[in-house]
Amino acid sequence: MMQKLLILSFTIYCYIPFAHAETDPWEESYRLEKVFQYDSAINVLRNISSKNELVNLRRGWLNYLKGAHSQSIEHYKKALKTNSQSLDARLGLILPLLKQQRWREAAVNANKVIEVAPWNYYAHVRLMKTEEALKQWEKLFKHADAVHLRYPSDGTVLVYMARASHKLGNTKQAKEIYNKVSELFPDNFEAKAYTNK
Amino acid sequence: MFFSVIKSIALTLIISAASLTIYAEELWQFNQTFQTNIQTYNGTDDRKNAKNIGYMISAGYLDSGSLSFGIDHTSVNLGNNADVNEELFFLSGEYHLYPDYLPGKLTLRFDAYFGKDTLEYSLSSPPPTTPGPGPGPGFGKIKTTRAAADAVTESIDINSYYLHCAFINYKKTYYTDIGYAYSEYNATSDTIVHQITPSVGMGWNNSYDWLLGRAYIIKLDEDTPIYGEDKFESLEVKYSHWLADEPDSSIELIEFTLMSGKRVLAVDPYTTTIYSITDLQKTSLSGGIQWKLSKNTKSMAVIQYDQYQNTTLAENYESFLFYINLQFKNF
Repeated sequence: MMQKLLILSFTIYCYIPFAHAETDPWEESYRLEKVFQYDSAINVLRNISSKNELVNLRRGWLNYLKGAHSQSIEHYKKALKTNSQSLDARLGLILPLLKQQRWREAAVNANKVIEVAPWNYYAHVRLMKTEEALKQWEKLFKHADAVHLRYPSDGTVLVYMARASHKLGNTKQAKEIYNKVSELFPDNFEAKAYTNK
Repeated sequence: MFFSVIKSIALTLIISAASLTIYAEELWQFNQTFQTNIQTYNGTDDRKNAKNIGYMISAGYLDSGSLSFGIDHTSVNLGNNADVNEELFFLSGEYHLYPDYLPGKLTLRFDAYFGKDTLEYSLSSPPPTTPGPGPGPGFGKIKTTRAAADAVTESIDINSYYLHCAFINYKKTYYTDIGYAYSEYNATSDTIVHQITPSVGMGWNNSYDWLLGRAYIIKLDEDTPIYGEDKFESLEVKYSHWLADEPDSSIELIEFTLMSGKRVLAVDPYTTTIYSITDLQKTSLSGGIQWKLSKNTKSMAVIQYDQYQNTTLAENYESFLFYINLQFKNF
């Protein structure tokens, strides 16, 4: 009996490393991302060619989550080099650019997405972020108004519209827009604060 | 020859900027500044007044960096029919870096100034200025003796290079930079000036308020005995208040600057000014307002009070300066 147990233990011992080695690196990378181990999630992909478009997208995203924004930009740019039509890569690239407050570069990339996908929600919202940062209030108001027509139940777009309206001196209009935000999202703190003023 | 090359570069830049306007909003951003100032002096027979006019153009590429070019003309009336005219050309390049190991942006900048001071006076009644590396009779290279028997023209070549590295955090609550300037005044003998300018700044109130402290540590080469010392230290403190961009207010920025200590032949990296005047600057106090005229146009006005010392004559005097500019974005 003891001998059988020893053989069984040895078999399990030998099997575990092989089982680990055979784990799909992608699957492992996603698992590690879920537990916030971003460095390890990047490392398990190390044997995949750096010319692989998908691995560059993945490294771009994981580096963004990790806060390594320059690394993230580098990988998204590599992905774009492989496939210049990739909206995934361009939309991804905008995120670390926004974190580094590179508003103009982020705006250029958002506009490139909008050129081929005119009502892409993410591109518009990210572009609005740059317009707000660059204090382009008129542009932001017109932009948010146009996007609101396409996404009438979206609170983020309405908030941008209300902020721009306030900065342009249209307090009454800003209040009306914030009221709409409150109707859609009763807990929205910014809308509540403005309408209660 | 040198100045005609510089003028050609300026013309090319202006024409290129105009033709590239189409792309300005996307990749390039162009800024132009026209500026002028007038300065009056009290308590000295050395100087009566000064007038300045200048122009600067800069082109910024996305969030990566920018190139600037400027020209500046200053005319100082010394009395006794004597004048100093200064022509200054300015070139600057800066590059931004966003390293992951720092929580902010690094900026590397290099400025170069090339200029000439020309002093014209009458040999029979020279202005009572003392010789020095700045404008003053008997120090510059005597170039021409004009038709009028006793008219003399002297000149001094000025070359100055400034290198700096700056850091600002993404939250815009902290700023620091360190700069080094090397200046040469080539006259009958050469004067070399080394300057180190470390700065520290802090921002609060969502970075609508900034306080910046900048030290000027200036060292002259040993062959310049006119000041009786070769090391000068001063401290400049600047407070800036950006007004919240409320629609009713066209005033954008209010700032006050105080400088105290001893400063000569300084390079001011903030205003891109060279203080080529020979005399010792002891105190400077200024206040400025910047306001928005339209979406792409701004203007700034500054009033400045300075105290100087003519070390050879042991004479203290003061000056008042009024400066105004007009700035155009994406013209």
